[in-house]
Amino acid sequence: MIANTIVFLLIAVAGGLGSSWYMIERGSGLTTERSGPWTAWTAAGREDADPYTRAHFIRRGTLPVSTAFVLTYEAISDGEGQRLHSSCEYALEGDEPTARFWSISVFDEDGRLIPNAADRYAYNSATLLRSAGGNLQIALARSARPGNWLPTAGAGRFSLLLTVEGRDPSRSWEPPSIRRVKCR
Amino acid sequence: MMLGWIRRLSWYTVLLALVVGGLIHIGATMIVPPLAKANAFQELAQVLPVNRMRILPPINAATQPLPYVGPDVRLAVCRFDVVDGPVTIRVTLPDSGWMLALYTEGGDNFFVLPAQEGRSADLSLTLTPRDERSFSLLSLGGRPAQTSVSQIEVPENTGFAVVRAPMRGRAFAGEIEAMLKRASCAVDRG
Repeated sequence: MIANTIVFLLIAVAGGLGSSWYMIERGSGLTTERSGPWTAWTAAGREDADPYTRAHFIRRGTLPVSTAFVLTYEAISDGEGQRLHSSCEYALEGDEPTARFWSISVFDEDGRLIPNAADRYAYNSATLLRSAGGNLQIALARSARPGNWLPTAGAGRFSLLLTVEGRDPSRSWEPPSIRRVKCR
Repeated sequence: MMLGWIRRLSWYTVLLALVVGGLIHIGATMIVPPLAKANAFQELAQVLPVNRMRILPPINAATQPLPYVGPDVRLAVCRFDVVDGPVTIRVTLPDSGWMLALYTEGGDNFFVLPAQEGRSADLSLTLTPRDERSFSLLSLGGRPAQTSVSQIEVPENTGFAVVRAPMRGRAFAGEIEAMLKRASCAVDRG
C-alpha cells in the first residue's frame, strides 16, 4: 500500500510537475533547436507557438519577436556543459552569421544587464572589432581584456543571448563556441 | 529486496499515476501564462501612459525595461486600450530591422509589421476591439503583413505596441531617436 502510494505520488505529482517545468524552462527537441551550448526556441513570438514556448516567454516577461524575423540563441553553459559563471573567464570563438544584423548580449541569471563601469553589455555586427582572420572573438571576463570584451564581474551565473536578424539560409553557420579559459 | 518491492506494485496504480501525471503536466503548463501575468509587463504597464507613444531611454543596466532586452535596440512603446474606441498607431520604419510588434498584456506577440523595401516607411495602423468588424485582409499573429495595412482587430482590448529599432552603433543614435519621435498612438476621435 505504501509502495503504491509513493510510486503514485512520484509519477503523478513529481513527474507531472517536473516534466512541465523542464519543458517550459529548458525545452525539448520539439520546441527548440540546439547547437552546442546554444538553444533557440523555434516558435518564439509566433501565432502557432506551442504551449511550452508561450509559457516560457510569458513567464520570463520579455518581448519575443517572431522567429520569422529574428532567431535568438541562448547559452547558459560553456562548451563542456558547465554553467556559465562570473568566477570564470570564457572565449567566444567562431564565424559571424551572414545576416542583416546580429548581436551578442550578456545577462545575469534573471535576465538583467550586468552593471559595469565601461557601460558595455553587448557587441553587434556594427560594433565588433574584427581580428585579422575576420572571425568572431569575444572575451567574457571580470576585468578588461584587449579586443572585444564583455564584463561579467559580480553576475554569478549568467547567460548569453545571440540574436540574428535576416540570416542568409543558403549559407551554413553554427553559433560560436564557448571555451572556458580559466576559473578563479 | 528491490525486486520484491517492485513485485508488490500494482500496475493499475502505475497506469493511473501516468494518466494523472499527464493531466497535472497539461494543467501546470496551461496555468503558467495566466499566473505569470503579474510579470514585468505589468511593471511596464504601470509606468506607461495609456494610448500615448513613449520612447524608452537607451538601454543599459539602469534603464533596462524588461528582462533579456539588450542595448542593441531602442524601443518606443504604446500601452494601447481600445475600450473607448479604435486606436491609431503611426510609425516610420525607415530601414531593415525596424518593426512594429503588437503584444497582449500577457506578452503574446500577435502581429508584426517589419520595414520592407518598396513600401512607404510611414505607416498607419488602426487597432479595433474584437467585436468590431475588421475590413482589411491582414495576416495575424507574428506573421508579416504583406500589403498596406490599415486596420487590425486586437485579441484583447489592452496590450502593447512596440516600435523596435536596431542600434547599429552610437553614431546612429540621433537619427534613430528622430525616427522614433515620429511614432504616435492615439484614440480615433473621428
